[in-house]
Amino acid sequence: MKILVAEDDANILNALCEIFENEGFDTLKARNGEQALDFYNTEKPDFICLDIMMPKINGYDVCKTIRQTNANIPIIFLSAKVEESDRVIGLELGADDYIIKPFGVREVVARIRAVTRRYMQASNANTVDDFFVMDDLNVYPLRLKARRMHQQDEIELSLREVKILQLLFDRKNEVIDRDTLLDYCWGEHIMPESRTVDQHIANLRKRVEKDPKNPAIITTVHGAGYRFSAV
Amino acid sequence: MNKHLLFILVFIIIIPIILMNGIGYTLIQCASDCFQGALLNTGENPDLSRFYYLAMMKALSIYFLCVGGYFLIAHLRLVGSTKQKVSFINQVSHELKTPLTNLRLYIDLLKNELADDSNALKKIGILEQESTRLDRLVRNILLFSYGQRLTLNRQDEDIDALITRVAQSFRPLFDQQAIEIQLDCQAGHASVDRGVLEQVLVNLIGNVEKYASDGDFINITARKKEGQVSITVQDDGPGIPDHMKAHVFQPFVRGDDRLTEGVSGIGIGLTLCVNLMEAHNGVLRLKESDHGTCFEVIF
Repeated sequence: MKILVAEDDANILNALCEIFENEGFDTLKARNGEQALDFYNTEKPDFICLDIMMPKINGYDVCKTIRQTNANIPIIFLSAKVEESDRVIGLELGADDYIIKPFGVREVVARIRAVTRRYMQASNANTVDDFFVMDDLNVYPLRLKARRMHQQDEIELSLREVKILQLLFDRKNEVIDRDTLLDYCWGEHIMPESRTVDQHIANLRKRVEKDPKNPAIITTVHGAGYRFSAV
Repeated sequence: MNKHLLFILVFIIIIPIILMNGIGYTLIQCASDCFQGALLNTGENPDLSRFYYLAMMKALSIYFLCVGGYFLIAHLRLVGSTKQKVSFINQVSHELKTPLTNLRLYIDLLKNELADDSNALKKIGILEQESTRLDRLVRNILLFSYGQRLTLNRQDEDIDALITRVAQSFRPLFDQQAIEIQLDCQAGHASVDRGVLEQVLVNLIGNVEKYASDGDFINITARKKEGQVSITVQDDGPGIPDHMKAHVFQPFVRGDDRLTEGVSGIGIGLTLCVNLMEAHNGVLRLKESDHGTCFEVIF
């Protein structure tokens, strides 16, 4: 999924893009409203994150323009404006959520996952309950969630985590090397360090494995990569 | 209704209309007839003609229109300065919140990157605490500046969960100061503006961290009686000196130097809490306490 992030402060923009890339999105960076509309028309993003107070065209007007032709694309506003009336204007213009500055990584991630989940479920209403099984784990890719069998607690997953599990499941019993994982789950144009993959896998194991020290879903094949061994 | 708008309504619309139409004319004529009668009794005849009445009413209408115009101009000036103030606050809000957002985002990103380095995490923890403190101060200043323009968004909230969440956010700070957090919350659900109650609690609990860090505990209770929620925040610090108790809710009052020396703050936290609770049809009061300080929030 491609996300367009429009924010006039370069540091916030870069931090947000890093967060979204960690979540598994491809990012497009815009520094003002005009650039955001250009990117929207040329790059056709799947998701938009808009600051309100931006040079040239403000976030409200960007949202209004986009909503005239596309009623479905998820839009999240980021703003320093705290008043209820500002939030109401944003939501009435068709935004799906409104994040108030200052915010931390966890809040952005939680909200972006919630909106992505709603969007994916709405766009794939017939297949929303589809799942695949890895060991004792049922993975629901369109819900961005997993659930251990015979347990009610749900495990929240990012887009990237779903991609990793999906790749390992689709090519079960095969060794997937780090380059393949990087290309498939990060995209060919993103060049993260190799240890980024290992860190990501370690974090994912902590959440999906019964015993992360003796993994049953994502096993390491030393010197080669990772594998899901289906019984 | 705004005082200016009321005057404008009366002087520009109501009085001139009454004077200009037949009712006003008749009323004044009747009054004048009585007046004439009274004068006739004294033997003087003022010779007031109908033309004179009309001229008098027109003059009065013009007079009231002028007065109304004055209030209209004053009102427009007031609206203009309010708009200017709102625009200024919005701009300041944006300017303060942008660096704060950067601080919070990059602290979180660093925490993820240095998750295995406990020494670095300790230092990042201090940065995080300081940015939280700055965030609290900025929120207070902005809310204080918004003053009466605050609009409430009441919703049904789990009060106990809200209190627990706010109290837990202080746990790292209290752990450092060996202050135990004691929670006894049994208020259940109530209609409340979450942001307002959070800000009030953050200020009250934050004051314990600032002024009662010598104490051993902070005790927070919540109860609901006859539809009213009562929340108390009690510490076992040095308490507020008797001569200061009457002034603690006044703006820019910060206790005596012994207590406040080296403690950050500008003395608007409690004033803001009182204003927020009043806007919420509630009260904030200082409760009598044998030791330490106890504030009670009722709404």
